[in-house]
Amino acid sequence: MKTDATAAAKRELIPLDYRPMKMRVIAATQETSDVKTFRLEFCDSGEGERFTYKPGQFGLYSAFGSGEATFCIASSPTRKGYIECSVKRVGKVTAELHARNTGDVVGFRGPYGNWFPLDRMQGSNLLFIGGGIGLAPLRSVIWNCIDCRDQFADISILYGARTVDDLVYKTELQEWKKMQDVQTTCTVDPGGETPEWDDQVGFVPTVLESMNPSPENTIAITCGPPIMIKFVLAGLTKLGFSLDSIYTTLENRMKCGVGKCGRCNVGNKYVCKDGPVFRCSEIAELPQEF
Amino acid sequence: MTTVTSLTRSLREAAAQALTSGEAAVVIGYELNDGEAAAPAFVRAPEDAERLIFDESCFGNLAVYLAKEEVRRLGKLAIVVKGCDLRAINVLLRENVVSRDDLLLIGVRCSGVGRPALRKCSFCEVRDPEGCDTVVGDPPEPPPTDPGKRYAEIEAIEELSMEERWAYWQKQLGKCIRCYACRQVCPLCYCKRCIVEKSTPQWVETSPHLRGNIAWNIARGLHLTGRCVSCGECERVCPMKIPLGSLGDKMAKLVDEWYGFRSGMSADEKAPFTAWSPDDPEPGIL
Amino acid sequence: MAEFKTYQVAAGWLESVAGALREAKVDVLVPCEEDGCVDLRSNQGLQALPQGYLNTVLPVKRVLMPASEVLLEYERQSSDITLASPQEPAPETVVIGCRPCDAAALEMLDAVFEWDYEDVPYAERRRRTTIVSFACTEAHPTCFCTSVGGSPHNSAGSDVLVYSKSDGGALMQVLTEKGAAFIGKLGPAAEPTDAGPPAPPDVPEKFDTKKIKAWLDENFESDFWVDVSLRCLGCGACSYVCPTCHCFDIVDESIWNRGQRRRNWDCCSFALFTKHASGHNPRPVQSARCRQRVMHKFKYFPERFGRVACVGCGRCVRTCGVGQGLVSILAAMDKK
Repeated sequence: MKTDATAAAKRELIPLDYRPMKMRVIAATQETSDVKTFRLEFCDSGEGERFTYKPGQFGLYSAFGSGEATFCIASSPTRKGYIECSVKRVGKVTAELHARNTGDVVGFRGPYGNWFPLDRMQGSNLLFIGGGIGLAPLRSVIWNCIDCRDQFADISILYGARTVDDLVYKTELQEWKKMQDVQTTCTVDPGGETPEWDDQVGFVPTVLESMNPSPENTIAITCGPPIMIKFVLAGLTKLGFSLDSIYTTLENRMKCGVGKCGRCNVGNKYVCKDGPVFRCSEIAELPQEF
Repeated sequence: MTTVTSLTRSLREAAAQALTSGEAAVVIGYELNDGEAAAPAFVRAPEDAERLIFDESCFGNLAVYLAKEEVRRLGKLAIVVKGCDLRAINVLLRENVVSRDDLLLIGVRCSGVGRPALRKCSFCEVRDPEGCDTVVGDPPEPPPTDPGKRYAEIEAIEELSMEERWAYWQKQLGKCIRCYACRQVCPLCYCKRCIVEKSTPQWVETSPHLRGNIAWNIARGLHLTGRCVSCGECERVCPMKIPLGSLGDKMAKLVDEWYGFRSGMSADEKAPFTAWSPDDPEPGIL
Repeated sequence: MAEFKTYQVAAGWLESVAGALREAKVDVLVPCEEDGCVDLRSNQGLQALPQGYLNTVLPVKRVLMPASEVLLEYERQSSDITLASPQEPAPETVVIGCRPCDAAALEMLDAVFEWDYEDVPYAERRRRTTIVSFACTEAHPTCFCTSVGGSPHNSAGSDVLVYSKSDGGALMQVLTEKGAAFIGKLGPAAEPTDAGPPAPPDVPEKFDTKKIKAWLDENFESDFWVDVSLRCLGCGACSYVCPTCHCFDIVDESIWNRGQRRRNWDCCSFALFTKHASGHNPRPVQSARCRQRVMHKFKYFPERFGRVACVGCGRCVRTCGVGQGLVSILAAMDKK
């Protein structure tokens, strides 16, 4: 088997030269002390017009000079003209990204990975369970579903963080709370509440149990710290959810984003190619190495 | 190797004894791997002591395993040591990486390893290792070369002019592929996070281009100055055959000339760059 | 599809074709010995070709995926960035003296670098490189190509397969259009022939990959990994000299406001390979990393691409500083 340009074209390969698209920061919101959300538009409007993605996909965002890092696209594809990502400041690249402000140029490569199969969720109840920064990938799906509200039955959101300050998308949480056709519950860990806090206090899995959601025609989508996911899965299983009806999105250290650098695999699945969206039944079959 | 020498027999007895008595949970030694040459062995059951060997293919410096978490958690360590390996252990002891009470040292009297014999063996002064709990083997023959000639190999490089020397090292270090075999095999490169692995800031570029390679190899050479015991393992394992031992030997020669100090000769030594006392004649940066 | 022929050439063919290629400004890489190391070097006088060499220290993958290459250049000016692709395109290259095992590895690299996305830097070099392999006349004790579906006369991945003769001449099997173009440079010196290649040397099999795959399927959790990885130092030597290993890192290197984004070789045996920025590491111990390397090559890659990611060249065995290498691990597994 030899490689040549015509053979590649016949196989419909997408050429990848690792060159990011240039994006301009049009808004930067400080969500918490270490999380910032960026709204980015394409510097090349033609690229922007051609750009499409699905909820759950991710990209590699460049802070030129420091490197690239992987973040989900946190905005919904139903909203055109920009994409958003939420970045937690934990190291070199994220610190450099946090230093970017409105008008600055960053890079973006994507969209990569698979997506939440909303077409298979039509007519179902949706139960979103998020923890901490894990709300970011869920947000893309949540807004997508709200924008197509009549395609789904009940929509419930349960979201928690360690403290009130650690809650991300505070303004949007309020928006969702005000919606009649979306049930939103927020919680903070015991001790994380402030005197003004008027919603739940308790770990997310505990609050989930007290909510007692029915598994009937319900799809659960969860993302958050591994410990939260572990207990949420146990809780949902106890409530009668099958692993097949629970979706999550995994993360792993990435460099290329397209299955070539060999870094992000869990067993024989690449998080960047076979994921990041997985059903929990698929995850149960993977070696527990993540 | 078909005949079992009396040295090998004594070695196996000492190892089995240490495991049976509970003095050690694991004996780090050498065994034949796939027939031809020795490879590091980790013997935990007394009956497995029969796997241990000692012959001319036992050139690995096993001291590297004393700082490895996965080995340390096996329990109290016994280790088979040649004199050159013991020098590295002395540095680990004086740097508090490992405590003497936690080690059982099984010394081996060695007349040289390698087929053909390694260069370092020809002037070795530690053929009869001192300070071990047990020593096996017959009294070794004296080294064929005067130990005073230990730095002879680098004289050819020293005779080059500065320009020629720089050209020589650019050529050699240009071959480096940054596999870090040199660092991983070195008993004294035990940093949990090497300088090359630090990213805020990136002190040493990780790319295997010439400037990254020069920065890496010189940084490592400097971090080993006054510590390196010239065991030669770095040069042995380098896939690109870069003469890394020369860098270590040169630094060792300078430390010897300037401070009259040779690293690893005893666990109580005071090393020029790591020992300090309030009445130090050269207080350094303080 | 053209029928590719076999040709006969007399002694002196190597000098003549290398001369013709250099005239055409083609980079000719041949194995040469320098400072005790045989490696592919550019435009050497052909008398430097070592007789009876085993293999080059670095595999031919490094021609298509160098240890370090520039992906793009960037410059920051106030809030804007200028990006530029590297100036020089990959040169036309001919590798003469590759071994069949190294060439066969290229088919595996092709599978990865053409998986949905075509890796342009790799593909450009691949298109511009002609691989002229020398079939092996003997096996080294560390060779194990036949254990992984290969052979000393394997034509996979090569454009021309050369069977050298003791009189300095050779039989040449053209396998692709690029190979035909190479033979064209020899002109009338290359005579078509019906002669067949000699019998390949015997390379004893050392393990059974089917048995190994079956064992790997059941033994992700096993003390075997802890035992076999105790002596592993966690360096990158085995992966870097491996013809099929392709893991890479992407880094930005700047001086003030300008710099390069580079692709560099990386290795799953390194402790930080999978470490998240949060500090979490899915493979925090060497046993997990050793397991990943073996699983990737003998289970995950075959499950996705249909063949083991190993060509049996034996470099890992020869290079490992603690006498490990894949054969001892797999032979131990084979016995279970």
